[in-house]
Amino acid sequence: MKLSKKKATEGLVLAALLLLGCLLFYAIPFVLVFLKSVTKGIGNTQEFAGTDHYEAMFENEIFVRAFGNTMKFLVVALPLIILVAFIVALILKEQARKHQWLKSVILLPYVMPVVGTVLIIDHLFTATGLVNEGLYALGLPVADWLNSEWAFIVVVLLYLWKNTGYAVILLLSGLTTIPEELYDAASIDGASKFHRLRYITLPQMWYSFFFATVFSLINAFKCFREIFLIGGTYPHNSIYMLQHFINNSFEKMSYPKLAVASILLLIVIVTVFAVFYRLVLRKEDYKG
Amino acid sequence: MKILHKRRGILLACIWLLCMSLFSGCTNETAPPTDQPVTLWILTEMSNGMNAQANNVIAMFEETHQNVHIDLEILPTDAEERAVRLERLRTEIMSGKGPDGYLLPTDYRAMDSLFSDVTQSMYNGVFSDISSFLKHEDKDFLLGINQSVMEAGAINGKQYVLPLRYDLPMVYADSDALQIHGVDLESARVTISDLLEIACESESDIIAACSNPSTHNILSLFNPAYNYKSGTFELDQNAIANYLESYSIIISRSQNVVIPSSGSISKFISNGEALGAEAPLKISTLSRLMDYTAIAKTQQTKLQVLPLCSENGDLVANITYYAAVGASCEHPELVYNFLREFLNEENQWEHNRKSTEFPGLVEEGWPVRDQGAAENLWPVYRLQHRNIYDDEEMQSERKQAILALELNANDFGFTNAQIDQARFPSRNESVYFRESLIQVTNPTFAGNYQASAEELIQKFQRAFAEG
Repeated sequence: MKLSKKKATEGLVLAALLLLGCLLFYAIPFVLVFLKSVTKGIGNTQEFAGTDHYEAMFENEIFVRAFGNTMKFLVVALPLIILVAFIVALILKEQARKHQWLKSVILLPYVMPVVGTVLIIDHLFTATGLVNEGLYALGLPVADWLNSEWAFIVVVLLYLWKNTGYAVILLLSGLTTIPEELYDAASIDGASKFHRLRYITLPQMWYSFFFATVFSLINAFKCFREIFLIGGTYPHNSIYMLQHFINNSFEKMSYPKLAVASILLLIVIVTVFAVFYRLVLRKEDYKG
Repeated sequence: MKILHKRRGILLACIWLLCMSLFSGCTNETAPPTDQPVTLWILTEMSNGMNAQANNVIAMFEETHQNVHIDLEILPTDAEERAVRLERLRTEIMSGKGPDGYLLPTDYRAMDSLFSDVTQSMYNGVFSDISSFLKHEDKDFLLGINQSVMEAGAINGKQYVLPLRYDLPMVYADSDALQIHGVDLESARVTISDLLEIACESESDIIAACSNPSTHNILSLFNPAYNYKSGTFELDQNAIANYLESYSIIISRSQNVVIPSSGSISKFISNGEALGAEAPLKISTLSRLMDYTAIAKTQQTKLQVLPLCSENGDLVANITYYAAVGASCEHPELVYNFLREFLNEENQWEHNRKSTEFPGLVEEGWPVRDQGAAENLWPVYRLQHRNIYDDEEMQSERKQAILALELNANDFGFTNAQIDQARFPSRNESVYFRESLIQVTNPTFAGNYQASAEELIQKFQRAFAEG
């Protein structure tokens, strides 16, 4: 449907403020960050450095470790959260009609303040926490959950506990848009529950999965607040994330390093999501 | 693509707007002419000695430069206020609007510093190159300034920072008292491993207790941790592990030994504390040279003064106070002319110091203008102790002896020994090392010194990699 020029102009005027905000607070800072990544020095000492910082970064063991930990966290946590959220959403779809309060309860961890979350982790997983006390009482070996390789598992569990509710709401909204008639027709034709899931539910959930993944990714980066409060500026190696590297580089005023780290992270995320989005588009193409 | 083609005009307008916003930051702004009033923003820390000196210099400078006003900002000492201010400053510096000049200590009361690693900040281009101003400096002015120490503020032949004060790890010993304990420090220099070996092998727990080298600039006693030029980390894990083990032994032997501080004229006047049989040697710093010399001369004891060298025999100076011109300064020469005043004899040797409230050298550091420093500082230094409490009994004799004592260059056992290298201690180094020292002396420590050393080195590596 073609828009008239007048309507198009009206739309642009209405969106102008938002566009200006995006330009001022996203586009321009992004370009400035990119410029920082290819220059060295500040003010009068600034000069072009080309790809020197990028080359140095790939040889920086600490950056590689931080980047690796962040990617490992995303690769483990994102699929897990989508899977768990989808299962919960499927269950809730049946129960939510009878128990409306379930939707509110499931969002409680998401709205809990960060400090409260950290206190819970502290009570559970410190050396003298409830988990170790329970294990000790059962005669099982205890562990230093927050200062060993186990810290990674704790952080993943924390992320799942805190953010699954939000992903459930997103996926539930997608599930409720699937017409019931399709399921009824499939039931009449003798389709089992698994067949209905595979051939009716999943094909119509791609966009919901995509959005749930995007928001889960955003929440994954927000998880840094909890990790920072639990582990401090320099946590155990297994949970030393890219945000720690960027945060500490800012405090040391090594702006090119934090700029390069940010750009590289953006490239990886944009690439992954571009591929994912193309896959979603292809899956949705069948709808014509 | 069709939509983009149709909305080409709007797209071009957005790109134009973006470019204009960017290029507006790239204008080649020339500094305003110097006949217009100029305000210079100098950042410093709270310091009784240095703030008074700075105010004197500001008054003199503003008198001779009528159109210049110096705005001296003192960083807050409250932890929360300080954190907020430092974050804002770092953002301003990043955006090219930072202070015009800096007058800062390298380690301020164990608080978070603006520049936790000054050398790395030099490599990051935070300071302006002042080499051209130094090249045109009067040669007489530079005479008497320790050039080895000044080199710490230079990289690749360009000077970025002016070290104003430094310190050296030193061993002060009462020769006769040492012999009672069966120790003889023969050589003109002693390395940290020599000293630890003597301490661990000595039968005397007092010698062990006196040999505790847990100074906050402990890393100057090892090979340089970082090679900033090549970007590599070079600290030796075995050397660290050996040190931690020796330190642990020394501490365990010092449990029941009380060593008098014996290192300040104030304590000597009030309590009579001095080197002797109960404390035959002390690891201290160059800034205590006048104290030990004056006390020894008053007591008529034989004082041995030895620089404490690093593992490889190098004498390493630690810069304790420095000045620099900010990278975004519009009047670098003017700021340099202000900062260079802190290098003249009057300020280096504290001729204009009036306060006796806190006896001691300004910023507890030795002046970088160190040729003739001791004998020129002594007349001012001794007067700082005139108000030290005494109960008019024995103490008054000690006080009178100190106040009447004349010292010349020959009285000081240490005469400008060759400094092999000078460095800016990083705050992270002292924090991490202290944590390791506490860990290895904890009763629950399992004794794995290599693991502790490895953990310490990993912390250093992270701090270095992020900077």
